[in-house]
Amino acid sequence: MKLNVHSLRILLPLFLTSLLIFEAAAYVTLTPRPHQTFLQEYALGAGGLASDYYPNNSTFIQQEEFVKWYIGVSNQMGSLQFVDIQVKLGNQTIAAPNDTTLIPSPAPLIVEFKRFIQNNETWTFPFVWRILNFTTTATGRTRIVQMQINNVTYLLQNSPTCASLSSCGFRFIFELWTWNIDLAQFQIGWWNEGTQQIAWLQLWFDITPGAP
Amino acid sequence: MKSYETCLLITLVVIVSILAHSVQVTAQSGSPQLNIVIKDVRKAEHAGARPQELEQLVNQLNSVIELEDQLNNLTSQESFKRAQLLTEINSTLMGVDAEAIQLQTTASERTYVSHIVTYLSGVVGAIAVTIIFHFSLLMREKHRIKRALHSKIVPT
Repeated sequence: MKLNVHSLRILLPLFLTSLLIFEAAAYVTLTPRPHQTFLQEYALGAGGLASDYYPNNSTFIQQEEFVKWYIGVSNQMGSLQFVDIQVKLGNQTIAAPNDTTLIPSPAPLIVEFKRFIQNNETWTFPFVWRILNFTTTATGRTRIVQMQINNVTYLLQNSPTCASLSSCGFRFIFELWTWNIDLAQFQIGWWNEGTQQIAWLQLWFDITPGAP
Repeated sequence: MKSYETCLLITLVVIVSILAHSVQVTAQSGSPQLNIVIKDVRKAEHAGARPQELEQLVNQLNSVIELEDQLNNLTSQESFKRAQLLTEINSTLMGVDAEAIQLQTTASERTYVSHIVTYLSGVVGAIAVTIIFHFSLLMREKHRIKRALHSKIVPT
């Protein structure tokens, strides 16, 4: 193989051009593509589908009647996330989390579910609950005083009230909180490209007098 | 002898309660220790640790949450169990942190080598293309000479 000046004049630009192309391809391969980061929160019914949320398809729940939901969180943040689902009990008048001001709901917190979730991972857990006891106050207002969630009994001291049984609308509010490393504490929602975003769910139910 | 035993018991109770309190300060959710561990696991992830490698650490961190739940359900009388759980939480967190730091080193070295190999393969590819092109030029030249030598001059 003999390289002369004529050959070099052809081969050198060819080498440089192919080097540029190959290195550009290597750079593209190694550089992670920017993509939208987010967390997704969802609730499914007893069968694990977006249906059959209530027994007999009625939002009217009797005392001691079991209701089963599945709550899920999907992590597409591009990194490990420490999430906290805060479950609150609200009524028709109590404020829901504010998507604009990012203020969490002032409804009383009943229980929290915490979990570390890897990127591209989904965490689903059952949420089985029943009303163990409710009272009607002297002014005729209804209040849930005892609930069972995932086999743990909760005594609700500051739970919201409703005007009457017939007009009662209670709701579970599931707020998604994430761990903020800079603040070393949980924050509502998450940060995405300099803006804070929040995700929350609510599932309504009514109380109906019945067995037992 | 009885007073000696009483003193010993009191000292033991004081030590256990101090230990329980001090460990609680460093190990519970929202503690600086947990934050440091999360930071280190994220660093390992950022350095290029594989999901399978991280899974072990994540499982251990989730076991810490379960232990914390157990801790929160304990009554004030169960101080021994409390101290036991706190010790377990602390040792798990320390273990996760050590593994995360180790994983970070391994992953960053692996990522560095992988980058070097990828960029070097670009150079090798460019050299290969040039050599193939050069040989194809030589072959074409040879073929052209061969054809010229074998050609006949046909009088018209």
